[in-house]
Amino acid sequence: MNEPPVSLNELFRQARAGDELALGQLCEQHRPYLKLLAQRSLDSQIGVRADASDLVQQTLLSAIRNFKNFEGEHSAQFVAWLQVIHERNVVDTIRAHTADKRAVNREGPIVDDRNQINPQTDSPSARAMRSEEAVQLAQAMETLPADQREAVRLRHLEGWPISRIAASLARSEEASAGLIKRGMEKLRKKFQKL
Amino acid sequence: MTNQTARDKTDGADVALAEYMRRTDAGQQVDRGAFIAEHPQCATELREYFDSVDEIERMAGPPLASTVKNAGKSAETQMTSIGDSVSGKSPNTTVGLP
Repeated sequence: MNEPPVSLNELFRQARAGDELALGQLCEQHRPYLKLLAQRSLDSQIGVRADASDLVQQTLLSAIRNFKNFEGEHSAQFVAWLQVIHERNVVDTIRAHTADKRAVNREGPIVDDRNQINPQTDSPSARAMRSEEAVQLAQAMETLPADQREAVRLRHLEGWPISRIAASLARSEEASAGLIKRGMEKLRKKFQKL
Repeated sequence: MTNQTARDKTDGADVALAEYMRRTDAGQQVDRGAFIAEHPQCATELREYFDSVDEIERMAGPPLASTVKNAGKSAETQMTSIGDSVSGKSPNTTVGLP
């Protein structure tokens, strides 16, 4: 039997009331969203070996561990909170990676690199992805075939030119445009049904 | 004979869309209505795509470049807080993270 999905707001309310199961479900609902953020962060950090799934898992574990200290009152604030935890994780991962390199050459000065590490993106056209609607969009994108999801992500969330997308997907520009078109069509139908 | 593989198979709308993307990527302001009129054989698909773009990009939020410009100092404050503590309620309220 299929039960109707519980809204993010309702899960958030239950989690705030101390329901640990609801907190787990709330975090799970944000997994696709965090995955998109993690992929964005890793796209812009060439040479940093990290796995998007590991970053997501780390963020979710931190969120569950620290939820008792979270003072936000709305699910939108929860999204913003997750984003900050995620960015901190990315910065830590990049810093650990550069620290490994620095260990090879200990002569170099120790620099506070917090403001030099950009965990966001290298694309000025990338979308902010900071709302509950972005969380819903990420959930819908999870239902797309992997190649369409990646093509849509790169074009419409990251703002990449079609030439760069084609190179990344190892396809022609026309075939990449086709993937984007079919992915967008499925998303449009999905949201029309809501 | 071309070396196009099955996964590179395309139709007229894909070709038109790739052309549209190349033009906008090059900084051209392409009028959507005029572009659709230039490609009547795939007008419906192009129209549906453009409708989807507006909806999906609205959900994804504004371009980061504009939000960074508007956020100004608050973004800077948020970044410097990473590693120490992060806000869950307002910029003045902090909660510790492990």
